[in-house]
Amino acid sequence: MSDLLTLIGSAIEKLRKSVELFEASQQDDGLHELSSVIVEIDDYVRRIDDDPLLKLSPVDRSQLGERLAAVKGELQVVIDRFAADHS
Amino acid sequence: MKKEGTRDLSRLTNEELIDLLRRTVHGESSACDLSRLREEIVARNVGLVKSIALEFRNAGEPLDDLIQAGYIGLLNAVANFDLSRNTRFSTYATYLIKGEIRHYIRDKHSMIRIPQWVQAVNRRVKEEEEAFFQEAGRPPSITELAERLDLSEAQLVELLRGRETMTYVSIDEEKRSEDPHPDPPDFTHLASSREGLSFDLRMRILVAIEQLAEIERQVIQGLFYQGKSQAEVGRELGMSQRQVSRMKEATLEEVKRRLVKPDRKDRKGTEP
Repeated sequence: MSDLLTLIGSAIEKLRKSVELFEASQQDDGLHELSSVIVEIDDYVRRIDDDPLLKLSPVDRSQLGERLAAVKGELQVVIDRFAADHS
Repeated sequence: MKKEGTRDLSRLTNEELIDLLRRTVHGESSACDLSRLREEIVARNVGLVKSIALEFRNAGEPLDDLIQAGYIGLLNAVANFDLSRNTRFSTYATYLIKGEIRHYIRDKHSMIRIPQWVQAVNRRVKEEEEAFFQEAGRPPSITELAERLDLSEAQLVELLRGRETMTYVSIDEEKRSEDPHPDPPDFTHLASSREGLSFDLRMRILVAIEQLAEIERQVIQGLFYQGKSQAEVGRELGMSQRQVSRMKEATLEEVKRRLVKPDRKDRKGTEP
C-alpha cells in the first residue's frame, strides 16, 4: 500500500465485503478478506515512513501506528473467536 | 424589519427562535445578532436543563456537572431540531438533555469496562432513537427500534437491559459502596442475528470500519486545512509547489471517487 488513504479505502471495502460474505454463509471467503486487511495493515506500517501523504498531513505517526494496531487487534479477535466458535 | 440586535426576541416561540437562528447562520436574515439569539435560546431553557439535572441529583455527580452535560443536550437539540416536524422543541430538547446526562453518568463511572463494540451499538441505539423521535415526535417502541437497528426484539431488549444495568450500577451509591468494582453487564447472551457471524463479531468489524473512517477523516482534514504550506512540503519532499498541488488534487479526486461509489455512499458503515 503506497499511502494511508489507499490502505483505508481498500480495508473498508474488504471489511464491508467480509460482512456480506459471512451473511451469505461464505465463512472461508469472509475470513480471507479479514486476513488480507491485517496483512495490508502490517505491510503499510512497515513502509509508513515512505508514505508521501503523511508528509502533507500533520499526523502523528506513532499514534497512527497504535490506532492501526488497535484495528488489527479487533480483526484478529474476530478471526480467533470465529475459529474457536466453529471448530 | 428591525435593525440587527434590536428585535424583541421574547415574543418569539422556541421554534421561531431556532428558525431565525438557522436563517441567520445561513445569511438569510440579519434581523438579529447570532450570539444574542443563542443566548436567548439557552437563557430560555436554563430552567428546563436544571429541572432535568435535578432528577439525577442522586447519581453521585456534582449538580453543576450534570447541568453542563444537560447544556450539551440542549445545544444538540438546537442544532438538530427539525422544524418541519410536528414536534415541540421542548419535548425534543427534554429527550436529548436526559439522554446526554445519562450518557455522562455512564461515562464517568469507568470502573465498568464496556467493550468497544457495545459502545458502538449503544451509540447506534442513541442515534436511531433520536432520529425516530425527530420523525415521529415520540420515542420508538421496541419493535420499531429493533427494526431500524436490524436487530431482533430479544436482542434489543437484552441490549437495553445491559444499558440500564450500567446506569443502575453507576447511580446506586449504596451498591457501589458494597461493591466498588462491579462486573460489567454480560452481553455474551446476545444471540446471533445472522447465521455464521455472531452479533458481537459483526459489531467488531463495524467498529473497525468506524475507526478507519475516523482516521481517514482526520488525515483529509489535516491535508487540506491544517497542513504545512505546499511550498514547505515541496521543499521537504524535493518537489515543486505545483507537484504538491497536483498530488493533493489527485488525493481529493480519489476520495471523491470512493465517496460517490454506490456501495460506499454510507461511509460510516455502522448499520448493525
